[in-house]
Amino acid sequence: MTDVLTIQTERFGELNVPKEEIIEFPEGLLGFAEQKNYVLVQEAAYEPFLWLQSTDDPHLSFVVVDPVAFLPDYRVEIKPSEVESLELTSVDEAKVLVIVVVRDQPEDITANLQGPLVINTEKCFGKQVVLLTDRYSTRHYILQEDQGGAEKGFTAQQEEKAQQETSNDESSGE
Amino acid sequence: MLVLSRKKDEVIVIGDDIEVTIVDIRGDQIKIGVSAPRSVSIHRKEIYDAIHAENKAASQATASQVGKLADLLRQRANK
Repeated sequence: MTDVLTIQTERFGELNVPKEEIIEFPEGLLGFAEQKNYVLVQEAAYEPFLWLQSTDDPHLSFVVVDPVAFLPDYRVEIKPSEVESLELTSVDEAKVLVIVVVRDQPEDITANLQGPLVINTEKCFGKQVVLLTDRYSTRHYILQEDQGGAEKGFTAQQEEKAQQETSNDESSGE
Repeated sequence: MLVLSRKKDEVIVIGDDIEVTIVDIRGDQIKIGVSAPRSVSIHRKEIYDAIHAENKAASQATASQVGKLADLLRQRANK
């Protein structure tokens, strides 16, 4: 039998969330350290966007999207120490989402490519990772094509590669 | 704020498990090495602030904005 948690949300009213669908962000998101537990809410009207709804705070939710839909080449390189702290043993266990800022003009939507959410889907916890690269911005206009060249993309091979490196040196080599 | 003078290769210890090393000094740029437990996040402040601001802005989205956006994408896909 699965445990189901009933939570109140401002946006969706009462939600019944199976416990195994709750994603924990042990450090919270940047600026939201207190809210650690979330659930992904998918509704047809908002696809391909998802809502990351806090189960701790009924008023807190973020719009997130799988970056592959817009930026097939987007690539997340995370440090070996982060691979380890996320307890990732294979690329298949990782899900990457980016948080988007939606504005009144839909075309003005931006995605935060520098601070993606990396989730260990097996263990249901994740982290907002800050990428060391300056290739990606925190405010990337995903629907506007003239941005001076495509940005380079995410594959999880990078994570495997990172894992193989034994060094825990955090140097970004700048 | 505590202000300390340090030379290249000198270290500051914070608590029991954080060390800050002056790795290199060139002109107005200083390379700093930080060793700290994994649980301690270390960020460049301007990037931390930018992500913090984007998170704040993202949390303000309304259902109608996101609905409009999804509609726009559907229209584009049907073209």
